[in-house]
Amino acid sequence: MVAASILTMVGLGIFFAGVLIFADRKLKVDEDPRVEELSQKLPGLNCGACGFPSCRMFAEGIVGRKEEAINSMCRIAGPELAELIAKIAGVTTEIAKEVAVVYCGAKTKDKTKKAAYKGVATCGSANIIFDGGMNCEYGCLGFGDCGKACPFDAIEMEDGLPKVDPYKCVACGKCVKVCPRNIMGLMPFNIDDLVIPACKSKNKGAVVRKMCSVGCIGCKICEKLSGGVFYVEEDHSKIKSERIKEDVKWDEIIKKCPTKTIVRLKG
Amino acid sequence: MNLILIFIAAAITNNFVLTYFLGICPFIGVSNKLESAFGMGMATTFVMTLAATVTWLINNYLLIPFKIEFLEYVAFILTIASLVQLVEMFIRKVSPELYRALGIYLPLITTNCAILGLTLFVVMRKYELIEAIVFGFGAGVGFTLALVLMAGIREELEFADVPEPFRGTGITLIIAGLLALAFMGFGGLIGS
Repeated sequence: MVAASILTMVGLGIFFAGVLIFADRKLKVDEDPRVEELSQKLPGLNCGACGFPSCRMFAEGIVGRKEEAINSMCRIAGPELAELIAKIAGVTTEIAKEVAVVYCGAKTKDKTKKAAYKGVATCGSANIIFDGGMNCEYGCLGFGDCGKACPFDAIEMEDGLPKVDPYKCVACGKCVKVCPRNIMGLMPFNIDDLVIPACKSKNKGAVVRKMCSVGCIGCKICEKLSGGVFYVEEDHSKIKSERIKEDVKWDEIIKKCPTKTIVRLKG
Repeated sequence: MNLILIFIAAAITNNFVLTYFLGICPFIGVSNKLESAFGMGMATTFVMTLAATVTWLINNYLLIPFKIEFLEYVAFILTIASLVQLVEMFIRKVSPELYRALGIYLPLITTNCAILGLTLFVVMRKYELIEAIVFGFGAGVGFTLALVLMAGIREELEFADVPEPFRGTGITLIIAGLLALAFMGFGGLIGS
């Protein structure tokens, strides 16, 4: 009986091993070892900022030298990883670090109300119900949907406004998508500080003045002082992100802005 | 008629998860999303049907003739593990998409006690080959049913205001218990 059991089990084991070896040979999937290597080194957070659903698929895209993979760099990649990706993809890449910014400067005390909103405490819900009780229909609602959407904990709510930590932010753009008022945006961040016009109100200056003390009234002072880096469109100041490296008198603009709408974001 | 009874018994009245409490780990672990729960259920159904068939053959043509039935546990685990490996390779070759969707769940089936339980039930109840296959398939369907039910409830639960101490695993276990209670209602409808 002992011999029978040993023999049977050994036999079974060898049989299954044989089947598996055979299957392995027959069903072998040829895979580029670089895919494995690269996906090991990628952050593995599957944040989707590169446009691929997972880091692995991005790695496959890079190894397969697919155009959409090469054109969209991994946002979280440090210089070392970026170099590796560039080497595998056969291109030279230069990653421009970007950061999420908030185009609204109205803190809790600056926001004037027309009603008290007591509904579900999310921006998405507040936005569809009577503008969340706010007079301004363009400003930050302050319920922090952006912070909840951020996979990297880079956004904290501070005095009714989201505050982005530029070192945690990888510019995946999730907050930009989730904000119902479209006041989040991405800006290049390779200088130590960043000056942006913190308002997106399309109301005329007189209307803005009544409802918000820091809203842009479209006076065009920034446009004149910056030589066109700032420009007024849709009744509020905008910034040309491709020109922010130019030598502009940032401090003077900030000082001269009558409503203090132009703000500096410290790195 | 007998086959239909075996199928219904395995799938509903004596559901593996909710009546025998087998395979609880994937039941709790993989039931947060409907999609993955269904994928896991399908994979398990496939392996269960296959395992029931192969272990029946091994038991009847190997273990019983050599009078070494006491080795059934070891032999069956070996069989199940090999089968899962085989299925994994096969799926990887045939459908990389499905392979990626199932991900970690596929190897997890190896250690799913519901499958070992199933193969042992087949021996205990002295099923014929065709009965064993139907039993295996029914058990798989029942497993999928339990997983999908649970996943559906848990997805709804996202919107529920659960008291803080119960959040997460706590409320999940309570729901599992309630589901099991509901399935107890079928108790005794069909013998075994």
